[in-house]
Amino acid sequence: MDIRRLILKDFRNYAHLDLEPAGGLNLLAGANAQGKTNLLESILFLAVFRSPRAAREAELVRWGQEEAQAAAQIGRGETTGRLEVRLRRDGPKAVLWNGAAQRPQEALGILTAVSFFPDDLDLVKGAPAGRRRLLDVLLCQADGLYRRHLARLNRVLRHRNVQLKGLQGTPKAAALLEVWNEQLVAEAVPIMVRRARAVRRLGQWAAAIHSRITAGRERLELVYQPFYAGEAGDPQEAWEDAAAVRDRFQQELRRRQGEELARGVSLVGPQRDDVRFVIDGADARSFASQGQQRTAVLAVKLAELELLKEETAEYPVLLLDDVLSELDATRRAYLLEVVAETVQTFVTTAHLEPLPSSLRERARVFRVQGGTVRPD
Amino acid sequence: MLHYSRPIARLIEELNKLPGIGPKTAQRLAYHLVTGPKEDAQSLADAIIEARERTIYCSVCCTITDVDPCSLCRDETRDRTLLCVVEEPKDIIVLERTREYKGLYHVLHGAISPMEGVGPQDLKIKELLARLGDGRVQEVILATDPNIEGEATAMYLARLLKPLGMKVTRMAHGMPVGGDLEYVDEVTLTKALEGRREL
Repeated sequence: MDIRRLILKDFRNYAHLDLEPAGGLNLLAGANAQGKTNLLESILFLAVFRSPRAAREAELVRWGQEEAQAAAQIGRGETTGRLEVRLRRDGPKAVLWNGAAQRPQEALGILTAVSFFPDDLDLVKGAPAGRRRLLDVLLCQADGLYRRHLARLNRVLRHRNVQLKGLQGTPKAAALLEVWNEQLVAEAVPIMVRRARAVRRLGQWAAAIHSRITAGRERLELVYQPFYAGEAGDPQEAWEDAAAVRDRFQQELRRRQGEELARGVSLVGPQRDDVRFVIDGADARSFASQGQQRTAVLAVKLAELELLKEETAEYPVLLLDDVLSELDATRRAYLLEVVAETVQTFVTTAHLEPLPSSLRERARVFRVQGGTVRPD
Repeated sequence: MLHYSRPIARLIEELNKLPGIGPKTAQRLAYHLVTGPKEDAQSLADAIIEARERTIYCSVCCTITDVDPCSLCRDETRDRTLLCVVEEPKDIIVLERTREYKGLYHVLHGAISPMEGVGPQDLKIKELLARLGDGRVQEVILATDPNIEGEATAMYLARLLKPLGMKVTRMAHGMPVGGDLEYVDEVTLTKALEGRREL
């Protein structure tokens, strides 16, 4: 699957853009604040209908305009289709696939993407929410059942948290809470089992890629941490067994009920899961150097490509925002020469000069300046 | 509301309070009402007042009715051992359209929803328990909506009624008849698979 054509209208700083990218490597070159990242953002928005950079979707509409549009001609072998998102400053967005309106939830997966933005470098040492988001973005693109369970889980949790607050000190607490516990377990167990399986596969791919980038000097492992896992952690296989997860979940619900009622907030559930990065047997969160973190994140991002390929039978597009400068020559070469051979890749960079000329010749280069993009 | 005359502004505001009516629709309806024939507006106003004044809750099933008990509760041909619990009066209309169900109904007037501040005490559950007291009802069918809030309500009622020795059933989840497999969402499909039947 690849993007044959990208059209933006009043999206961020683009009044109008019409771009025909290459199936392999696309280099977007330009000075800062010209719109390079906005372009990647538009592609990511077409894939997941959300932007990691915009607090409100209205920010995506160009200054002074009421509506914005992002559309892509998506190619799958011989066939193509048109995916389009229309945004209004004051209303909900509309998603269209070949002209027919779709619910965003249904349209996920038409275009899949893996993105690597500079903020992702915090993945290893940052808050667990970032690592959960990585899993959610990945699995929501790959698995319709997962995104439905996730949407329902979030609704159950909102109800449950209100209920927990309201129940403090009331005698009927247990009976009412039971209902929400049952729903929580019903939505959470499939999510947790799916996450466990995804982390195991992602970890296998990441380890292989990591070993290649480090020439076998270091070993990376990813370990899924369900909310109830202690630091030691049970064997990972147990996390993939729905019946076992359900038992442990119910145990935790009973064990922590008093605490939940006292604090008035859900303390159990996959909203407290985590993924541990382990390098050469030690927890990377506490010791990894800047360089080690970068390599680990790069390996995981590239593993995401493989996982999506495995799940959906197609490679997603890869979006790399200003990360070339963060990587040394070996890693850069691996990324651009190995990956961009098989995956449609969009890379932003301020300077083309450090890139080998052989690479620049194979890539399609675009100059980005003040909201316009022209082929080099 | 700066550009509206005061009576129009008030009408728009009132219409806007109705479910499913946004500010733009409210504005369209308001202008439609004041520019159309006066009799139409009068007739609508009368219908609203009449419906409001002449309807009450049925003292048995809690549906909205103009006679008490309502016609369904009075109907001696209905099966009085079967009771179907629904969220809203409109759900009765839908189920009646099937002409298959011959039992009685009970309307809860909502579903448990902590986010909206609706708890069991806000639903017609006391009335339900009172009806079950005489032991004639053998089976209670929980036909609340198959969403988070409807499920929560069904679970709550099941926990309440089962200890009373009542047979409690839940409407099945499954495939829409006449539909295409490929258009069915994943959760519905999973539940339909779980609830499959041998032929």
